[in-house]
Amino acid sequence: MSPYKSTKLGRISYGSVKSPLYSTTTSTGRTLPRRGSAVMAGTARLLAALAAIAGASGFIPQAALAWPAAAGVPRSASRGTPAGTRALRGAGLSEGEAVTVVGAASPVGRRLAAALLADGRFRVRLVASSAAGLERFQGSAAECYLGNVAQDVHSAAQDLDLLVVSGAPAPAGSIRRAAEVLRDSSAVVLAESTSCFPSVRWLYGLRPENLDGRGGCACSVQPPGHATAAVCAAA
Amino acid sequence: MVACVCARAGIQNVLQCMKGGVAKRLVYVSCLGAERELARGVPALDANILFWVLNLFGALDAKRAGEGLVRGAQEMLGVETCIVRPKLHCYASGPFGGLPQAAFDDMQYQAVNLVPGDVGDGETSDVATAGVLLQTLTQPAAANRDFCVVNSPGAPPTSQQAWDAVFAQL
Repeated sequence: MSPYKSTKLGRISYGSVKSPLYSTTTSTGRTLPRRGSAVMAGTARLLAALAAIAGASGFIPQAALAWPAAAGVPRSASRGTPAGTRALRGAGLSEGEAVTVVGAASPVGRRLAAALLADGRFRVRLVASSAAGLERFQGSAAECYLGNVAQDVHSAAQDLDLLVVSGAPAPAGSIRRAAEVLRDSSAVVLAESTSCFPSVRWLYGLRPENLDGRGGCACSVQPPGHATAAVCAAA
Repeated sequence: MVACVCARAGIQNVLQCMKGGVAKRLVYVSCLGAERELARGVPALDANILFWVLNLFGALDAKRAGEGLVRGAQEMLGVETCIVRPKLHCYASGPFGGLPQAAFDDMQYQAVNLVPGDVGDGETSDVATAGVLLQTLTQPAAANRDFCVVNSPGAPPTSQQAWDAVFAQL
């Protein structure tokens, strides 16, 4: 259910640029208490006291009072995230481990790549579908690969090829399997992005469903400087 | 050259390539509104109207599908996953793209807030998103979590202690 339904206090408006994270002014002019405020804390204490009384009187089973922990429901940030349902391998990465950024030419991806290189703790591998987007990282410590992970589907995904641009163990212009690059990475960041509305990038096969969704059939144009299946296969 | 291809999504290809690897953490850049059940047809005139517009061509639906694939990787690959939701704009750049970094700097709108789930709204700078992504690689609190990233008035976190305080919001 959407958290933005109308309430008895009126419709809540969010998102003013100058407001704090949640502007809590309702359409009726009332101001809702923020999380953690004194009013909310008092309400929480009152509810806790009522629950304790009800539990002590046997009116409500103790297991229900302990929900969600006792009911086996993971404490999750939102629905669908099974936090704590399996043993974790570890708490984050260690220095010297490899991090691959898929979509290193996107606005967020290139800033992340720059931040990773400035940080200097990890080995950085960059995968981008635009050669122009990788130019700024050539000559850096990063391994740069050109390839569109969304399009090379004529064979198994393990055969996905990447064109070595710079910094890799293999010489520039050679082909490396994407599986080799990704299997040896301790962390992978999926930062590829495209426009929400139709654009030239969509003609290149970079539609939202190609990058993030379940895929689909589409006619695409191979632009100069962009990697497609044909480019990778021919290079 | 025009080619017609039937493509799997890029995420599916990446996950297939990661099978049998040494990956510990998988971080996915989703967007605000991806988990909200946006109505098809006539939208409700509420705070989700912007996300309904952004989803006119299915961009948020695709992100939601991507989140599902990434969550599935927890079991398939045995990795920790982290889903980060910054603000998404109509285009990556241009007049309908995100605000330039100079605007965030001029407004002193550089503090970073993390909100668990998909209930936040606000503007997110690319620099703030990149900083959060870098931290998700090492922050234990980011393991198997999904959260929104939005900026608010204030100074950006510059030290590790400041970033630890930001991730303490989760």
